[in-house]
Amino acid sequence: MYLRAPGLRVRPLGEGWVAYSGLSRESHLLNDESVAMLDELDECEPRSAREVAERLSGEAGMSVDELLAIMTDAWPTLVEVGLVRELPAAGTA
Amino acid sequence: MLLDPLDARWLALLTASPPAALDDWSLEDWQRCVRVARRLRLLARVAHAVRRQGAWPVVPAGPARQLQAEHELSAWRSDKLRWALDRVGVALQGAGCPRVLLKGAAYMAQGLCIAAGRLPSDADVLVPRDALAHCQALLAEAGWREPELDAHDQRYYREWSHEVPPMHHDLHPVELDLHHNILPPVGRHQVDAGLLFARLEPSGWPGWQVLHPQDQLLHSACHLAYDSEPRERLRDIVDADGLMREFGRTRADFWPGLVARARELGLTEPLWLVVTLAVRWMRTPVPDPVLVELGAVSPPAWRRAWLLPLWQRLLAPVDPDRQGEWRQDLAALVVLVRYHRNRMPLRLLLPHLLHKARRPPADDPVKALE
Amino acid sequence: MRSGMASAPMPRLCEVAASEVFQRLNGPGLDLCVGALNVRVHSNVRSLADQVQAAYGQFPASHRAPWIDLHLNVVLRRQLHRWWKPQVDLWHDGRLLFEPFPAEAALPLLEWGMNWLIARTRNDLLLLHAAVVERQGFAMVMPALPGSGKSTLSAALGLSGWRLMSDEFGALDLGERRFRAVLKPAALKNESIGVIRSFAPERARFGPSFPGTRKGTVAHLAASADAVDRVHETAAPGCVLMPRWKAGSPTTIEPVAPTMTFSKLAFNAFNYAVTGAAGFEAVAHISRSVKAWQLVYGDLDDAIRELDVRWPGLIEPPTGV
Repeated sequence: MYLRAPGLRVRPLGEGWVAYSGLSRESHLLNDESVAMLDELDECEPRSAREVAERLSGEAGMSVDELLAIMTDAWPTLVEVGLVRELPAAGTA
Repeated sequence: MLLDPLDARWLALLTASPPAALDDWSLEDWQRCVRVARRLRLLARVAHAVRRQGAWPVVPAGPARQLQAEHELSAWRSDKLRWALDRVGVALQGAGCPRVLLKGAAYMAQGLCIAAGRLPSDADVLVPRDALAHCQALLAEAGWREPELDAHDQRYYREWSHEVPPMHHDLHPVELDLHHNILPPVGRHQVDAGLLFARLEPSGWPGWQVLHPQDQLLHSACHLAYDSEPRERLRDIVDADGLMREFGRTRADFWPGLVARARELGLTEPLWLVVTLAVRWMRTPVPDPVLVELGAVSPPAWRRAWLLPLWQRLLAPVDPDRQGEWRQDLAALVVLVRYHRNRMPLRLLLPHLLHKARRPPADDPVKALE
Repeated sequence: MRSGMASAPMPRLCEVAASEVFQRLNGPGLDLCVGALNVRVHSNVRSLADQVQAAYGQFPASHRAPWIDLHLNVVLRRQLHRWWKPQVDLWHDGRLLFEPFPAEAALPLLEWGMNWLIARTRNDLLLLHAAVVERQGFAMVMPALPGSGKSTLSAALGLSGWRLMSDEFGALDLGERRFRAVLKPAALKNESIGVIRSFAPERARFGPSFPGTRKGTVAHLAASADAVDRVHETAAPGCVLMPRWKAGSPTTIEPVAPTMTFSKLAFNAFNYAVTGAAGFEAVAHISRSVKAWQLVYGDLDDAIRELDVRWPGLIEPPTGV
């Protein structure tokens, strides 16, 4: 389950995007896909990867499973650099 | 020339209540304050105190930009520390042992007054000795790397020290110091870590605990008393004063039994030292019964006669217009010898110091600007 | 601030005797107002007086600043052995910085120390690693990138009617989002020194050359009187220019994408990370609201002519923002 990090700032810049995380204090250049993922997340209401893929599949013109596969590698990076927060799976501390 | 901390108006500012007036400060007063406080790494705390008092509008432009600059630096370092510990906490989730924050991180996690305006560069974490190896492995998996050490240094850390070599991570500017005790196990003063772990408390950060408030003060005290480079560490006295003021006010179980606990852990002399200096320089309000108890365990008069002036000389700020202070250098040398004697028995100390001397000095941390 | 009454113009360092400069250094201190900050230099090293006089020639000789941001002291080490070569130390607020330098290299030590401290103590500003020149109130920001030749180019621009604000620091006030000067002598290295000497043989004033530094030979080009006199004038961001010197290349100026601009400014700054959200917003704003250009050139005169001609177009704001 994922949440958008608090204090996140995303700005369009020409063909790309720049983002700032208040959590990690880092700035990153992002592509459209990552920004779309961030856009579908909420700061308070956790969403699963599948939910995000479902929301995006219409726009992306891809099946949910295709999208899930593409996004798999992106999640750990987004978490590591402080753009996304990951909640532990239900049932663990 | 050594400055008397009592002369520093800005030092009183850190604890002033009701807030001291700042509008009668001359530019010269501010100049002195900025130079000395920055050197002592207390400038961001001064900035915080000024803001807290709502006195920012009366600060002239020159000092204001220096206070602002230091505030930004402090905020950045503190945020980076918080973030690094967030990731360390995730890495150690499966460790199955208590994870304890020490020093600055602990103060931040508890939201204490002295959490503001800090300049942390290390994250200090305490875990039980028998969980150490497992924790190191989990951290290594998460990208925390220990420096490459030769066999001697490895042995130093593994057998003689109370901490593992500082760990680094590519994505974090803070160093991670993993401890299993607050003092080295082969030193002359040994603390039973089990006693510390028996009284842990939750912090404001999930998954992290802190020492009992009394133990936090005692740790702060022994951290100062047994450190190798105590010069101008007035900020440690400021911390001790802050802990005593806040816990003294918020915790009914702080003052009673404090001296007894110090005796239990073998830390009466550091406690005596830190309380004496805090009362002298920060006018910390310590209840009389505690002072009486402390008096009963204080070092004998002949020892106090040289120990107290030595520490006063060490911690007093040096005049910013002077180049060094030989009296302080001499005092520092005495403490350095004590430091090593306290950490290791002589038979281990000599080979260790020889080894340190033979190694090439670490790279100058200063990088040339282009 | 000047008083209302008419007074004789303040003498500049190059107009007074070197002994007077030394008296100041060895006494009350020499105050240098470089724009965003004031520096007070003390020293007991006689040769430093001559070096400072040459490198800071156009600065006022007897300025007394009410507020000092940096107190520096360049001190001759006490020599325990007369055959040891004399060395100097740099002190800041009673703290020793760096290793000692040979006494004859006091100026490079002072400059290095000043730059190092500026980068560490002015986190209230966003400090880009860039040269900045100003024209008609607009700043042209040249990020310092390897092989860019930005020092040579900005020095030449400063000698061609453009106002040099800084050779090293793009100091942005985060509130006003305007650039402030951090005007110091430009440290030119190796071939650059010769290039600038030939570029403007009458106007270019250098301090002594220091061979054998980590970067080779270094010499300091003094700022012009105009640049010194206007050190408090700020400038709005006008454009970003990324120079690249390439032997024999014709002068070309091509647009650069905003994301590239962001990278080159943010990830090459001294203290971008420390300025947090404010720094992020400022760099994003600059990257969006001004144009960025890649300049490739082989001939300095030609490059400057081209920049002159194309200037109005360079600072035109991007459309559709």
